[in-house]
Amino acid sequence: MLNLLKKILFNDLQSKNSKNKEIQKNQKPTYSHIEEEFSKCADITKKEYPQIHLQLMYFEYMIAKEMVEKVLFSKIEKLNAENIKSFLSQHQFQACDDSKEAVNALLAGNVIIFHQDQTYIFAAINLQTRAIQTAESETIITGSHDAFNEDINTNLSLVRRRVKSSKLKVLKYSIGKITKNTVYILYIEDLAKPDLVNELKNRMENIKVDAIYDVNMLVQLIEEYPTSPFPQIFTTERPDVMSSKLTEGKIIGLMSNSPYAFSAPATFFDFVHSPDDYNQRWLTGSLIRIFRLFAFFITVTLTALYVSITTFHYAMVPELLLPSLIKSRSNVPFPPIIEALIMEFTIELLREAGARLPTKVGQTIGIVGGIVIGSASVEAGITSNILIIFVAVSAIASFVIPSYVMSSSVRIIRFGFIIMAGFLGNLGISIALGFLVLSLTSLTSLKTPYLWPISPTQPSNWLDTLIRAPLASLNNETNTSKKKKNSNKNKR
Amino acid sequence: MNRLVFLLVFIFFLTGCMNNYGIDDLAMISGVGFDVSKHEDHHLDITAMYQVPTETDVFEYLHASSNSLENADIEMMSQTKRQVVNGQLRISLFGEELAKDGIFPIILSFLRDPSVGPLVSLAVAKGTAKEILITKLEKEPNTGSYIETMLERLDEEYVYPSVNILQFTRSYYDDGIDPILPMILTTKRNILLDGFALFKDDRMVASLTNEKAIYLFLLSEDFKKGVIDLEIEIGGKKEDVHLSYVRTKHKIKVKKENNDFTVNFDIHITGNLEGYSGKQTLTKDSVQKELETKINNVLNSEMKDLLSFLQKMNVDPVGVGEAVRNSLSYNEWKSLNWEEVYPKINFTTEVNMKIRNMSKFQ
Repeated sequence: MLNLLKKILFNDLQSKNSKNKEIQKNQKPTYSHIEEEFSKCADITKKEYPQIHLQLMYFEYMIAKEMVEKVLFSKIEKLNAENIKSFLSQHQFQACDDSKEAVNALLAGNVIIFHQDQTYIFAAINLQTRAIQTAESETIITGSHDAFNEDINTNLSLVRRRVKSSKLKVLKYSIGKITKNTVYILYIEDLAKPDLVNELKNRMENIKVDAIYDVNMLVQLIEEYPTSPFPQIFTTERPDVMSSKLTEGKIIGLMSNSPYAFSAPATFFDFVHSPDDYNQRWLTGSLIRIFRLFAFFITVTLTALYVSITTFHYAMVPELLLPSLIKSRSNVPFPPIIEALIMEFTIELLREAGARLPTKVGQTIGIVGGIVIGSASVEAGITSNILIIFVAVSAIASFVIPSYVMSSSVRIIRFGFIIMAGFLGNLGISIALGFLVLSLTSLTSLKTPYLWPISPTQPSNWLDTLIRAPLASLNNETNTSKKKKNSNKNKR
Repeated sequence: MNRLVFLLVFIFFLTGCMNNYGIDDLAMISGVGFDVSKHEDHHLDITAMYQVPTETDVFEYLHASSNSLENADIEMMSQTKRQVVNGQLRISLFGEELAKDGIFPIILSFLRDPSVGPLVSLAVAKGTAKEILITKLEKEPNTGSYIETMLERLDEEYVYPSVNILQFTRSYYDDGIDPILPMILTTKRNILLDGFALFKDDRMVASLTNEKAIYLFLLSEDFKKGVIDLEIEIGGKKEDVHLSYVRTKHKIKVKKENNDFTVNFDIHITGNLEGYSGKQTLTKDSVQKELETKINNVLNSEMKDLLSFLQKMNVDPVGVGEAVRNSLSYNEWKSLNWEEVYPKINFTTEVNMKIRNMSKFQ
């Protein structure tokens, strides 16, 4: 990472130094200019046909070779000085008067053709990409399984296939001074609020960064509270989720070379919902949503509760549970807070190791971690049985949250709760909960409250937030669209 | 901002000054008993029991004599390596002699201690509280928990109520009712409920046996549980009647004529007749009617006896005072000298017993 940073900085400096050498905009492209621009690029291919004064430049691995061979090279070879002009006037040869544009086209994977003082771009992009595969980090049981991949056009098509509407508008941006990633901002006109679209446009235009590689990086540049532990813009690899966000009146963004997409504005509840909630019966969906919210609180507080109870609040324990709790604690030489932090730390290590390792080795790690470390550490008297249960349950609960980014955030704030519980007991947990609620309510995502519709309170919208009411009663038109319609009516 | 950060950091360092013993280093007192001390300077003999945290069914006792519960702490602490805490207290027992002297100062100590909950059961020990606490039942070594569970079960399944700190305090401060407490007796091999202690303010003045206490609860409470055993006379022969699944409803009506109060208890009882020692065939309607009137008569006379006994002792565990107070305006009640009025009240009782169901066979 450090190397990368150095490289970026270095490049940046270099480009500043060689500013006067750099090709100016609106300069007419010439072969020698472009050649100089790509000096020391061993991977560039140059072809010359001196008898007809024709030069070609392209990156061999970025073009559709067979097509270019058939349509371009084979025909050029048959050309002579007379008919070359008419050949190049065909529509697939786009004349180009701007050096900058020519360079960008070349980098994107086109063939640049120089003939005398005229330059043409021949569209031949064919980038090797991964096929559309099943979603890996957000698997569901019922519903569509396709996921975005690294090719932005594929991603765009995945969305367009689902939302067949001319109202689906697409804005294009190029982000990153060096990496020059294409970003598409998509929204449905009439559904998305124009001021939010404008706000997002502003933010996209104001991004000043040299390099960016993923949507998850991009959203950190455009969210309002970059220091908050919680993600404020929802990212997913599922095109069906993104399409549903579009129809909810949200704005989504796709980026080249990233298998993720973002949607804004996001609420806290976006991160704890899954398409499965809608694909299953409403009762199942509602119950699972409630469970997930429980899981959120369990993750945050359960280990902390163990610490506070064993440190301060012995009186809270039911009489029958007390002997077993005491017995499991009595062999442990550490105070509960140290014991809990050790265990939580171990679980985090296990999780991280499992995530970085190939699947097959990952399973071994699970067994080693779960069974060997778990039971052995109890026998060795490092931790108590009951803590293992608490830590395991809260770890499992954290994985119930569908969004990986959110579940990681939750696991981090849990440490704060444990420390507060160790120092101040239940009072500490209450204080931490207070801060949690404060920080959640004070967040906004693209000018929209993060905890909507809980705060500001709009009980009519709880039907699709806390629970998942039957689809008929959710009234397939979303609130935003209804509002929009009404306002349109008023205008008329 | 800097000041806030400093404060927050400081809070965490200061917590080091607080003593936080681990849960396995505590002597959690589960039962405590109070007796009158023979010691000259001290008023109380305190016995406390706790389970040794690391062992199963091993209990230790702490003894102290002092003038209050708070003052006994140091003496108790010097008897164990563990920190003595009250947060798991389940039952508090008072020796009979102490109960007669007054127990409210101790209750007040409980109320002041934030770690003692209001649901701690209270009971009077026949003899001394120490005697009961140190009784080791063969299968139930946790005496404190055993007594509490026993009282709870009696409360849930039968008519005998268990009394906790909250209920006792409420009755104590209410000027229309006097508190009662269950009484516990130990034979060396068993611990059992043996009647109820009647309190005037916080001093025990009389007691009722288990059998008589039932009439007290019929007068003061509605319940949907329990059994009543009665002895009735039919044709000069004594016969036993056992009623189960008893449901009762009671109404207290107060009439004031001149300065004389008449209080009428209207009590409806339905129950299953499960046991009957007589020879008559129960399926006959006439026999049932006869039994019902006999039972009514017995209950009526027993209740009258009980009420006059209570008047004689000048204690009011039934809550007659509450009923009278509710029928009067505040000024009238304030100007009334209840202590003098109570013994002169004229009581009438109307018991209406219905047999709802019979035993399975005849």
